[in-house]
Amino acid sequence: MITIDQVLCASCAMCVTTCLEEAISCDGVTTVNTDLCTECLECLDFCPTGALTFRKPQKENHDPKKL
Amino acid sequence: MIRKSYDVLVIGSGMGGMSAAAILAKDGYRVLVAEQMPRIGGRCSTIDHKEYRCTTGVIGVETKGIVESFFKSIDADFNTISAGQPHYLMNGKILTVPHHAGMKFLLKKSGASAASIDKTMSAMSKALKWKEPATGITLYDWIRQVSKHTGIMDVFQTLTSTALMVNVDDISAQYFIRFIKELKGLHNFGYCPTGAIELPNALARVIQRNGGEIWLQSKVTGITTDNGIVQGAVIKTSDKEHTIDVSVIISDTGPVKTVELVGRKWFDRDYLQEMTQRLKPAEIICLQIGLDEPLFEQNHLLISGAKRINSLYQPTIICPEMAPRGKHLLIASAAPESSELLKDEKSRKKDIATCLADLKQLFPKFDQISTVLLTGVYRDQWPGMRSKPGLDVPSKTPIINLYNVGDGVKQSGYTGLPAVVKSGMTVAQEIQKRMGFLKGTSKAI
Repeated sequence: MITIDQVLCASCAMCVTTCLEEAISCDGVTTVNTDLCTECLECLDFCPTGALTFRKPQKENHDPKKL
Repeated sequence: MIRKSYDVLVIGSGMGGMSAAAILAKDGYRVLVAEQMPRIGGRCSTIDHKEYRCTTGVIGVETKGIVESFFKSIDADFNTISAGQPHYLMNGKILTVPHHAGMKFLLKKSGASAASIDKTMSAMSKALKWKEPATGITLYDWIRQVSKHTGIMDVFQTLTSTALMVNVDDISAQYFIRFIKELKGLHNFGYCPTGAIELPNALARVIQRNGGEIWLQSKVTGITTDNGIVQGAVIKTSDKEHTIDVSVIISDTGPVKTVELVGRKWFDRDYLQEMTQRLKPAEIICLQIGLDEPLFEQNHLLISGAKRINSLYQPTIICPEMAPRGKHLLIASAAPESSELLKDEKSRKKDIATCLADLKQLFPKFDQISTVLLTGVYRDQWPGMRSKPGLDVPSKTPIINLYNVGDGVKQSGYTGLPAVVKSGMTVAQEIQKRMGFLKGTSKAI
């Protein structure tokens, strides 16, 4: 899933223009609608501040419990 | 793996970097431009968004000035359509500002008394022709000494926030006077019919025609030095890492990023201190709006007395190709309430809401005919300008053969695009003077 580092994000709205699904919006604060996002990662290339990152959803921990 | 070598590496394809690259490529230097994004131009570029040609920063392009003469000097196409006479919206009326004595004209319409206007004009004229204001006094305080009329202050606020991207209390009176002197007003600008990207595209053609290379999606991840002299760089592309040898590096990523690429430990403490103290980005709010019909007849209006909005542009009045057929593009620029507050998310939201409220108040039909395309705040790593006017750092860095270009190293009196182009020209000329022998040899000194 796409995550936004709100400290790095300038809210310049450049990423909004890259999203064909219109999943990103910016009104002073940038947000990603995860229901619409197809994780094409196009927005990552156009973020000038490096605020956008892609993180794979963390798998549940199936390691055996240690005594 | 083959180690590639170039005479000059330019980091970033903004207008400062591209200007320097074009001059040097044309002169026979082997030039590589590395751009991390998939498109060139940086904040002087264009994005197709909902069939509108939206800007990434640059709105109007100065004509009949340094940018145009530079393009001509290197045989680059300069396709810009003149915006014509400036217009001003004040107290609900649209005024056509004469090219001559525009300031006096605006002050006369400000609603201030004749005595206040005379006092302001004579202070301006004294500052321009006899002695400039002392250092340390802001334009706000300087004007307040002469007149406390809010209409007069609004005129100055509109000029500084539009042209210099700072509020009237955030710029020295001395700098403002020098700016007025050198640029001789705010006249002569136009629009590129295909958007601002037309400018870096024209420079890219010059670079490529002369054997230079431009790599997209290529991120410079480090600069290597030897004994304080530039030696090479590492460039990461989607599939691999390239190590290249270069003699000169021109960075258009901003002075702070340049330091990061080399590593802080290689810089003198005084340089780092000066950089941190001086470099504060000039911020601007930019709204891009689709319209079913023009909001006003002109292509550009300076706005006085609104809460945030200081300038409105309708490039489609003269460049209809920038919007879908029958529609218009409105670009509104605004000054944030304060730099400090912009760090706060809620405050950014509030600023943008205030801009939209301004538009509604200025034009009652705004809501019925508009679709908001983009509301962006240009700040921090994507600022209006990397430094506030008068608080730039020098182009040369403590690392030999490593230069900065762009809007963090502006020369006094210059702002916006002309400042950026000028920075690229100056650095290129310095390299030509110092290292003429280097051309095409690709050998480190």
